[in-house]
Order: sequence, then C-alpha cells, then structure tokens
Amino acid sequence: MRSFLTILTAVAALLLSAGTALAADRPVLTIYTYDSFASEWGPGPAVEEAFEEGCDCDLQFVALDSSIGILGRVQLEGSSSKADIVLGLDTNLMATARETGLFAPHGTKLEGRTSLPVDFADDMFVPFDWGHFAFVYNSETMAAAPSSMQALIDSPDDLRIVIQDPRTSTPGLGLLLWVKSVYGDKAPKAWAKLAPKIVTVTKGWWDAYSMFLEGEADMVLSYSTSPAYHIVVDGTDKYRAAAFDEGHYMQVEVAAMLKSAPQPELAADFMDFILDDGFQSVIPTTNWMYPAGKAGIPEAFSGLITPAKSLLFTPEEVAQNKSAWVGEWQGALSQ
Amino acid sequence: MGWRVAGRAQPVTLWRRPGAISALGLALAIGLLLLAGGAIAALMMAAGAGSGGLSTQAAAYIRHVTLLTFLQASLSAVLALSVAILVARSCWRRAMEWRARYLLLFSFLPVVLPTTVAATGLIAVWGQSGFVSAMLTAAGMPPLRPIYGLGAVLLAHVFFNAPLMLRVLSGALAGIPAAQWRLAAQWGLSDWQRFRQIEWPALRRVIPGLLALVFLLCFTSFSLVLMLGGGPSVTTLEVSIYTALRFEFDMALAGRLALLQLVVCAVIVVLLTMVTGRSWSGGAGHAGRHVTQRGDQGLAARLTDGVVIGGFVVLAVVPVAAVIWHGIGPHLGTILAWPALWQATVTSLVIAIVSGGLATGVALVIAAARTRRFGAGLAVWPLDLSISLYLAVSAIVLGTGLFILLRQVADVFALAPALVVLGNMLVALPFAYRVLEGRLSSLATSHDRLCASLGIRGWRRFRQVTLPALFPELGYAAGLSSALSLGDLTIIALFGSQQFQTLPWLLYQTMGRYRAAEAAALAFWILGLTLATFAICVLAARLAGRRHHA
Repeated sequence: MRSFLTILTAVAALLLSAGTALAADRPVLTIYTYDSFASEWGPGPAVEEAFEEGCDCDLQFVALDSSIGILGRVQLEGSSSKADIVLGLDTNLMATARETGLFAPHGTKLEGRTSLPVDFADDMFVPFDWGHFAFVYNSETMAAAPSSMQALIDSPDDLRIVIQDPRTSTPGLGLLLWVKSVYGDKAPKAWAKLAPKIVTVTKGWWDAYSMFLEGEADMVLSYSTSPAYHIVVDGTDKYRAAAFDEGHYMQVEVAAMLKSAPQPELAADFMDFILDDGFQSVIPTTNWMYPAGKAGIPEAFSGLITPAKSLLFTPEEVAQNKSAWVGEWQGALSQ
Repeated sequence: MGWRVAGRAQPVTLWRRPGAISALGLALAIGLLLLAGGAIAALMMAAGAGSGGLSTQAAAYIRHVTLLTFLQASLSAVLALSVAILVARSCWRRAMEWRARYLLLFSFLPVVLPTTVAATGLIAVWGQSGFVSAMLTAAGMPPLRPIYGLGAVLLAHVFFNAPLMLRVLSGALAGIPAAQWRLAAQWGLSDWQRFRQIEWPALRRVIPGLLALVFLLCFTSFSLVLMLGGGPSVTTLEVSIYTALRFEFDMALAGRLALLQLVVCAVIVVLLTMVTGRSWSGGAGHAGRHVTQRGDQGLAARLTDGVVIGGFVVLAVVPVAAVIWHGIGPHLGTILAWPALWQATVTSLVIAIVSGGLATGVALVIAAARTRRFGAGLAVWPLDLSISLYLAVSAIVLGTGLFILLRQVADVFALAPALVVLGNMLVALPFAYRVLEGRLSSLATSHDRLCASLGIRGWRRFRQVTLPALFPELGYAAGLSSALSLGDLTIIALFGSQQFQTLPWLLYQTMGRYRAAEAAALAFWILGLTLATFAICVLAARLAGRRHHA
C-alpha cells in the first residue's frame, strides 16, 4: 500500500512539474484562450513571437476546449487561478464576466485605436477582433443556399446543419441571440422547427467546422469571413457564407486581465499590445476575423458578403436573459 | 464458526482473532465510506446552496432528462436482451460448429473494450461515410442518415451489452441437463415448444438480474451518450451533471442531479442484489452436451441461425474489425509522430497501472478481511457496504462530489492526476472485489480444515496456500481494472484539460475534429494497448502462479 501511495505521489508531482519546468528563469505570462486560437494554425504562435520580442518573458497560451469554458474555468479557480489574462470572450459575456469581480481595469487607451463598426468604450475589456455570424456551405454540393433565417427554418428536414452549444461556445450563444433578435417570443417555435435539421450540437466552433469540412453536414454556423480561409489557404472559393435578409448577429471578441494576475505588469503590457500592429496584423489570416484595431485587410476579404444589418444585444440584456433563453433553447431542442 | 477436527479434543475456531488483515480491511472500508460520504455531503451542500427552490423551467428540464434516461435505459436493456436471446439460442443449436464457439469467445471483448474505440468502430460501420452507407450507395440506394441521436446510443448500448448477456444466457442454456434435451428430441417438440418448456425456465432465472444490471449500466452511461448523443436532445442524467458542472458551472444543479442519480442507482443496486444471487456474474459456462433436435439440420433452421449469427457478427464484430482495418495504415505513422500521443500514452499507462494495482490491492485486503471476519462470526456489512456503495455512486457522481469538495481547498486541475487515479480505482473496485471475494471465500471453505490441522495460519497461510491458488483471479482483477482505467473517458472528462490528457481524451478530441483517419489509428492504438495490458496482467499472474507451484 505504502509503495503504491509513494508511486502515486511521485507520478502526480512529475506530471505537475513537467509543465512548469521549461521556463523557470523568465517570468511567465499565462493566457487562457480557446483551442483554435492557440493552435499552430491560429494566431497564437505569431502573437506569442511578436510579444516576446518586446519583453524578456515567456508567453504561454493555455488552450481550453471552448470559449465560454474560459470564463467558467477562471470562476472555478477563483483567485488562485494561474491565469493573467483571458482572451476569447465576447461582448455578450462582458456583463456576466464583470459581475464575477475577478477582472481588473486594463488601463489601456482604446480611443482612436479601434476600427469597430460599433462604439466600444470599456475600462475592463479590450476588443481584439470582430465579425458576423453566418452559415457557411459548400457551393459545389449545394447550389442555392437559403437567403434568410426564415428560409433556413422552412427548408426541408433533409438539410443537415451543425451548430455549437450556447452554453460553451460564443458562436453557439451568438446563434441563440441571432434567432432571439429575429423572432423574439417566437424563438422557441423557430428552434423547434430547426431542430430536425441539426445533426449535432458541438462544444466548440472547431469541432463543428471540422465536421462540416468532412462532409457530415451541409451547413455550419461560422462567420461571414470563414470563406476567406479557403480562398487564401486552399485556393478555392467553393465555400460561401449565406447572406440572410433579416441581418446577421455581430460578434466582438474581447480580452481581459485578472485582478489576481501573478504578473500584473506584463499583463497590462499585453492588454496594450492587443491593439498594436504585431497582434492585429496577424488576425485576418489566422483567426479569419476582421481586426479590431487599425490593420490592413487582405484582398481575399473583398469578395465576402457584407450584411446589410448588424444585430447585437447589449451585454446587460444578455446577462439578464441568458439563462432563461438557454432554457428555452434546451426545451425546444429536446422535444 | 467452529470446525471439529478429527484427532483433537477441542473444537478449533479457525479465526478466533480477526488479526491485522481484518483491522486493515476495516480501516480501508471506513476510509472508502468516509470518502463517499464526503462526496455526497459536498453534493448535498451544493444542491442546497442553490437560490432557493427550483424554477419551473429547471424542474421541467430535470423531469425531462430523468424520463429520457429511464426510457433510453429500458429500451437498451430490452433490445440487448432480445438480441442476446436470439443469438444465444442460435449459438447453442450450432454449438458443435467452430464459428459459434469463436463468437462466444469473442463476446468477452466488450468487457474491456474502451468506449471511445467502440464509438469509432460504430461510426466506421454505421456513419455517413461508413461501411453500411458505402454498401447502400453501391447498391444504388441513398446512404444512411447521420447516426447521432437516440438510435446511435441504443446501437452502442446493444453493442456493449448484448455480448455480455449472450455469455450469461449461453451459460444458462448449457446448464440445462442433457436428459431434458433428449426427451425433447424423443417427443419431437417444435422449436417454440422447446423454447417454452425447456429453455425459458432456465433463461428466466438469469433474466431479471441481467435486465437490472444492463439497465443500471445504460442508466449511468456517460461517454457513449457524450460521443454519440448529438446534443441536448439525447442525454442522460450523467451527461447533464457533466454539462451543468463543466459547461454551466452550476454547482447547485450539478449537486441536485447527482443526488437524484445516486438515489435511482441505489434503488437499482438494491433491486439487483434482491433479484439475483450471483447468477449474472456467471461466465461463459461449460458447454453442456448438445443433443440434436428435430429440424435443427433443416434448411430453414440453418438459414435462420445463419442470419441471426451473421447479423450479430455485423453488430458486434464488424465495428471492432473496422477499427483494426482502418487503424492499420499510413496514419498510424502520423499519430506516432505526435508528441501529444506519447505524452498521453505514458499518462494513460501510468494511470491504468497505478489505479488498477490500487483497486486490486484494496479489493484483496477487504476481501481477505471479509473472509476472515466471516469465519470469526464478526459483522461483515461495513465491508460489503463500502464496496457496493461504489456501484451506486457512479463515476460522474463521485467525481462531481470530489470536484465540489476539493475546489474549496485546492486547485482541482492541479490535483487532476491524483483525482483521475483515485476515481478510476474506485470505479474498478467493485469489479475487482467481486472477482477476488468469490474465490477467496471458496478457498477458505476448502482449505480451512487442512490448514487448521497443519497449523498453518496467518501470513504464512496466505503466502503459501491462498496466494498460489489466487493468482489467476489476481491477474484477472488487475487486468480488468487496468483495462477499465485505460479506457476511461468519464473521470478524465471531469478533470482533463489540454495540459492533462489521456489517450481516450485525445481520441475524443480527434473525433471531435473529424480527423477520421487519425481517429481510427488512435483507436487502434488504444485497442492494442488495452488488450496488451489485460493480457500481460493475466499471463504474468499465470506465470507467477506456475512458478509458485514448481
């Protein structure tokens, strides 16, 4: 028994130390983000390199498997969290996040540095990119895409779509709010009619998008900018975003630093760095979103759809109604 | 209990002093009870900490999920039983043919098959780009609809549980005295009459226990539902607890759901022990004498049996074959070059070996203590309770309790390795205990007199008499619990992160990314490691046993 316990402790210690042993000398800035941001194809590596050039530090991304999961994780960890910064929440979560009392003012000047289509002034959150949610389809296998949310809902049930869970993923929450802003009180009915077309509900955006690319679904909830990825990387324009008459729900992705940040100065530096060119210039072709700062937009973005109308709830409206609306959604989908 | 041994004037009470092992066993049992108690107390506190009563919406949701779980588990159990009865009868009729016998041998596999591997195999067969769809398309028919949802979950549950039931039902059929079969042949009973008069009475004895067991397994099903359920429309209480905890961070809801789950499982476990002795734990049984019946060799019977057995092969064997078939390929090289694979492999193996070893060790000590206390006429219920409690406390309930309990005092994610080991050990414990306890008590009965007359007792008796005879069961228990831990996707789902990954978690992530080829290679890798771990434990124990005898 005793030897078992010794082994157990040794193994636990070994696994724990493995992660931290690498960079013992330089200060470590820890950023919690979602998986695709930190992946080798995402903005993570370029952002890390650009920031480390200007500091004698080691930037480490901790990839969580969904965007809303980032907030839950720091809530669970409370003030003992190792995180300095969370990156990957959006405006819909800002009020909820503020209420946790875990975050600190960023002290960064936003005025004159952003190029968002909406006014954004906040002392706690710094925007890093923005975009519109849209359903993406393959124009080679699907000749005509629905031209409105209503048309999508009225489509025959053999249309297969894949969406994300609003409890874990900001796109999933975005779709929930999109449907809500179009249908109001009739949203549950709309969801019930959409339900048979939903192949599966994934935890994060990446899972859903991969599933779509593998041909397991005809349409996926993503962004109006997603086709640019295929134009630039794959050299094909067969993937398109469907423009909807009712307008598109908008997303502004944000970052915030924690009150309990182990490296508060480095964290403040990074918050300021977010709107610098070193961060912003890599966003369009790695996160495939519009930069929140003043950075150039690549040619491939010019052919993308531009929604006639942007839909967006205020952070407070979302914070007040989110759990009721998620309950509605759950009820409508589990009929 | 005293035995009067020839040649001695005094009755010899064998275990008059319960001894050190009994004290150790009792201490472990108390530790286990305290741990479960702590987890349950944490759940109750979390459940009570919620903002007063439930909203009607939340109450409706809980009702809906509970109903859905009941429905799903009942359907799964009945479907698996129907399949198993059909196949068991066909196999029995063809018992003389080698294929049927290999099928029975194969039916052992689902016991150790990791759920992630099974899900990969099932998708490879029934998915939209799978084997069945390809055949349909080739025949000019439309491919299958996406399998996610209730259908997929039922399919997976039948896949896992029909073979288990098949083994027990085959054992029951084999246990029918040959005289009855001879009579049936003489009287020329029809197939239906044979079933009603001869087979059903034998099957009926094991069916209630089987149904209850499979209902329990499907009611607490987690990873299969997570992988194949396809969103909120198909869920179980277990998955809802997980989403409440890890998606919504709603401790109160998680606590309430976990308590509900605990109560339901406790009721089923009590029912299970009431309706069965040990009938459902029976092995494949020793093939009894088969007597050829009227019509057995007829074309119709051969055709029916062929279709039934062939269907079962597609259901139970082809998915595993698909994992091997898809898994061996160039992508095996791709994944072997992933640093994450090797990290996860080491993590998984260490967790499997440590928790498997711990489960076997703890089960052995408690089983030995039980045997000894039973012999000494002392109460054994604390020992029994400490084990059977962990049948009712499912992995998710336990993990959620530990999660809530520990998050107040420590960083749960930093403790993840130790928690995953502990959780896996506790989940495997009832199975390891069942294997060891049965053997130990039968050994005690057969050795007591001899050892008493020779004056061999205590540690010496354990080492020289009990241990050599126990080696096969020790190997089986260690192999089983290590294999279970190696395939676990439940505990790791609660405590895992990108920084702490096991192989099933890596496979789950890879499946999520729909990298089908890599997922297949990874599934094959896990399958190989699991079978190797199990085989090494069993063979090593056999070797050790043999060396002991020499």
